[in-house]
Amino acid sequence: MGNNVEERVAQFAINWQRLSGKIMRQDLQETLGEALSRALEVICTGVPEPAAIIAWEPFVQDLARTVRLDCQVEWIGRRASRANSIAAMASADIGINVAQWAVADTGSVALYVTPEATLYPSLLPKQHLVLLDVADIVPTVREGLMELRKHLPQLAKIITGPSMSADIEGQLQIGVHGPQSVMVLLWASDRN
Amino acid sequence: MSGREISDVELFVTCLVDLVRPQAGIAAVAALEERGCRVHFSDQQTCCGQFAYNAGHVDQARAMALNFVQAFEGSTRPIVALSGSCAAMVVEAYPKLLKDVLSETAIERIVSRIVELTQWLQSSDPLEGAHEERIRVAYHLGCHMRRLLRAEDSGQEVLRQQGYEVVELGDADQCCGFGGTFSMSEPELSTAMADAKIAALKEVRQQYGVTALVGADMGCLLHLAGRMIRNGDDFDVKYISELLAGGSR
Amino acid sequence: MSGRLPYDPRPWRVRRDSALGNSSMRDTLQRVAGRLSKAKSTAYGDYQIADKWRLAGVAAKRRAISQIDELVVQVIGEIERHGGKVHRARDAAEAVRCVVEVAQKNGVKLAVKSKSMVTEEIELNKGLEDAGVQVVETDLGEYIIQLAHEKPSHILAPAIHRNRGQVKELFDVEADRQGMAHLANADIEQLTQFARQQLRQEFLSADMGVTGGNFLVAETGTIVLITNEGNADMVTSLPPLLVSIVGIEKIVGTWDDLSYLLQQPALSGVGQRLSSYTTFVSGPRDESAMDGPDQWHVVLLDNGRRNLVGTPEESILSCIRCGACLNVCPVFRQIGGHAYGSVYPGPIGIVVSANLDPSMPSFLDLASQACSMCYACSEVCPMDIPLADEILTLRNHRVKTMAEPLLVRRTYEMWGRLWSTKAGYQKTIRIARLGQRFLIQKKKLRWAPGLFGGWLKTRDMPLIPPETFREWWAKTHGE
Repeated sequence: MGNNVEERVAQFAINWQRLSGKIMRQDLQETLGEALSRALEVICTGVPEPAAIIAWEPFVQDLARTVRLDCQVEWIGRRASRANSIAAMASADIGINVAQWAVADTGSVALYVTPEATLYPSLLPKQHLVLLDVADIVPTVREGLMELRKHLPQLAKIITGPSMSADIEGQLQIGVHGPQSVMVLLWASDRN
Repeated sequence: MSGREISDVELFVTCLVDLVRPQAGIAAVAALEERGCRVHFSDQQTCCGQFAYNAGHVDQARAMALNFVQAFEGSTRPIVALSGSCAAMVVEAYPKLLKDVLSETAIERIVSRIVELTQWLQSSDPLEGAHEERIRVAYHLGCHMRRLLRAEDSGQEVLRQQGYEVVELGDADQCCGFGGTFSMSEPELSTAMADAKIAALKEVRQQYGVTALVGADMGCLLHLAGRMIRNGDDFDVKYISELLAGGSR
Repeated sequence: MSGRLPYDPRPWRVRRDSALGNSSMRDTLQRVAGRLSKAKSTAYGDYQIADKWRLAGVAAKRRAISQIDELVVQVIGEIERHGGKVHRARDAAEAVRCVVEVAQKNGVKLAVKSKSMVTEEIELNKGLEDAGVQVVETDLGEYIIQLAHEKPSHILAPAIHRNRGQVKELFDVEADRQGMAHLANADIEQLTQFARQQLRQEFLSADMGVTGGNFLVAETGTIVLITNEGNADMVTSLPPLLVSIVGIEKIVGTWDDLSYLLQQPALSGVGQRLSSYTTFVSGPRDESAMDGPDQWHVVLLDNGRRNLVGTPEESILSCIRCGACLNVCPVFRQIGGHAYGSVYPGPIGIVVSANLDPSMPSFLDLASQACSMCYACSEVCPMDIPLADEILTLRNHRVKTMAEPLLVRRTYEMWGRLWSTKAGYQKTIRIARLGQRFLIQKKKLRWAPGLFGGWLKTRDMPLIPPETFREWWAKTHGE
């Protein structure tokens, strides 16, 4: 089971895509901001301009400043009150989160609620983009859960594919309450 | 027959074969004899007690189980049963059913001797001279043979050895709805399940031109045949031994 | 103390026949249940660790049940240490009262719910509505059946008995109620998007969220919720008040235990390695955080569960509600969930309903009515619950407590007595031959007395032949 990073990346990619998840990877000669721009260009296709994108976590906000896009976008960040923030996020088109970890053999990504991070970008918009550092891919759910247990945020979730349901006549539908489309942007931090 | 070693077996014919399909028992005797067996029949045997056991009537089942033990305890020969379900009854239920009235070794002596017909035939050499032309038959595997005896392949295997081409039904692992006295106490539901099985049979009849439905459990077959006949369909339904005795070919 | 479960007062005959008469439900059910069963076996087949972990998970569940009292104490301590409030409910009525009190104290007008079998078990919606709280089911299937005023017909796919046209009719009524235009046609994608839009408003304005729990981890007091739609994420993160109602059997000891169990519901239920969303709630919202409730209440429900610990039936408490036994059950595939007359249908439903609530004769009767003893359920259960054996135990209990009709009882007694000797067996052959002479019409049996008559209602039966096997044997091999 995925002993080195590349093996885990490969396995994660297979399982994530099996669930109709999209995947992109930062090129060697590219900055993360450039990679994110490339990912957002893809996601923005089909979204009416200006696309409202949630950049909440400081890491994502810093990154957003370096993003260059052909299309018009509006960045959504923290508002004066919690209610206003939620309302703004509820009308956004795209949400961005940074994964805490990911699981190779299920094709899952994990997110925590922290003072700096919210789960709403993964839930309220129809498009979700997750930034995943390849060093954070663990082989199985077990390693991930041990990590989660250590931090134990009040709220956390593991995402394995888009929001879906087969409740009407057993026909699979995506984008029921949460996102219709999920994308992972793989990148490599200095830890690699 | 030359070169075969003679082995002695007891036949457990089962109540259903005895009472409504004696030709299946007669064919089984022939099939066994052709394969070098000397068949013995203890006429004290009646029923394994499964119909009562599965209906929750444990006391009645125990009385029948004790009769079964008495019928066969006179010898140490293997007991060849003409039903996967009845064989499973002995193997699975007798230890629980008889634990307060017989010693563990006495129970084990009986249980270890039980073998279902096709399991027995599978372990003996096939007859020479298989069919020239391939005859296609549909095979129904009973649930207890599948899940309790774990004899998933023996029936199809012995049919193939004798030159039959065996076609499995769609959703083969679904129960046909017989279920012992369930077939009598819940005829509507039991029959709805039969109809699903018969629909699957119809598909392979159309697609592969199978000439008969074959099985190793008389209960399932009576139930399915009885349903088809009631609906005016007299498709051939056969107990497996009827295809395995040389004379039948 | 035994529990109380809601039941359908219609007699079995009526429930069964109404299901058998619903051909569109049966078609969908056959297709979906068949597909899910296949997906399950494929999922385990091509995944090395799945079965190894399953077995570790079974051990963890069995261990948790044997330590249930200690784990309850531990989980209460942990949840309260993290700022949650725990309420213990001995039965359904207590649980409902407790949730209603919490709602009233907080002036709740609108509650949103994620899918939870235990809230069906305690009939929470009715309790809340009686107290003036509007409750909205947010799982797509549950939303549909709520609009139809029905109960779920499948643990995982509650609205499996309704087709798209019937769903559209319900949504049209809802659109009328809100002065909206009807959907143009019964397209499943459009229906789904209609529900998304409707429910999105409810999520954002709800005063209270209600969830069940798939697992409750004792060592940290963490509730784990598994969904594919994401509605549990809305319910746990948006409303200011969250109530989670969990049966005590959902408690597992440690995260290590959880790690083996977490994938099993999805693997066994739908053939996925994990469901789309696995949500972990370990406490109310921290002031510095955006998501989560200000207050978190956990109701630990007994309702007949504790009573089973230490009995031969305790393994049924290991059920993870994956639905695999329903999908594979040939009876369930014919009649669907409603015919069982309990909120818990299928093989596990027979076993759980009768054991949690032994006071209800119609639950005990199901063991005889809705099972052909094919053992498919026992084979498929990821928690190794011997379901068919448990059903057999219930049948035996039914016999012992004289719950069967007298005629049926007498039939078995006589039949058993006769067939436990050779002489008696031969006597029945003589009686049968005599009897069939009188009953025969146009060379066929058309009617027979008692139990045997049931067969002839729908099927033919060959006559006892002039020579049985044993008579042939005596003739050919006789002394």
